[in-house]
Amino acid sequence: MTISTMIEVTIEGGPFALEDREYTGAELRLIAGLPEKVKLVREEEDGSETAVPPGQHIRPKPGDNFFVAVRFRRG
Amino acid sequence: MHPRLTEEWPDIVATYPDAAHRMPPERVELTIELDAVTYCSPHTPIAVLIPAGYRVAGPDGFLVPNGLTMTGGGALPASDAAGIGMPGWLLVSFHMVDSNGHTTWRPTADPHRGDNIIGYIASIEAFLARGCN
Repeated sequence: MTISTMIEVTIEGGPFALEDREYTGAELRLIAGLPEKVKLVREEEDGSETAVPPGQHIRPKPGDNFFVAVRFRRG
Repeated sequence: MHPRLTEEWPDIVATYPDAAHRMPPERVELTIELDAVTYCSPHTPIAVLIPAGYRVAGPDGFLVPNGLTMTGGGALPASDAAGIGMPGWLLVSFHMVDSNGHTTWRPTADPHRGDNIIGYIASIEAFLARGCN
């Protein structure tokens, strides 16, 4: 029997329980019901933001906070 | 290759498998998918120039091939890039700034965290997905 450990993360303000494994950015968007083309980022401990594009593989950590970032513009 | 780009390169290629490093000017070229309802093509090459002061200095804009148009007939908000050594391309001035125009470019010493080329490209994808808005 395989027992998978679950971790709690936040995506766009909502709590989600994820398996303790690698996810793609596309999977995280799907889980949270977000469009694929939004810019999803992970908040880092120092307050910086790390983008998680759909094709990127990441292993979420307990307590990770992901959100959609809009902080760019032309000019 | 710019030393910081060298550090980021494995992540870039893992995320965007067709990414290529070209110079001069030093740049990253890759293909991104587009919304076929909004654009005349379902995908397009883009190029991101690597500034000499990268990572402290963020990219100054990105380039798309001349001829990429929106299905409504509109052109992208871009200017000819021949003057910066990229004939046949259009330059879209595009920065990481807040509503007051202050930079929000926040790279960290760790190439895997904070702002980096992957994050910049992700912003480009979101910008194009919103119809250059």
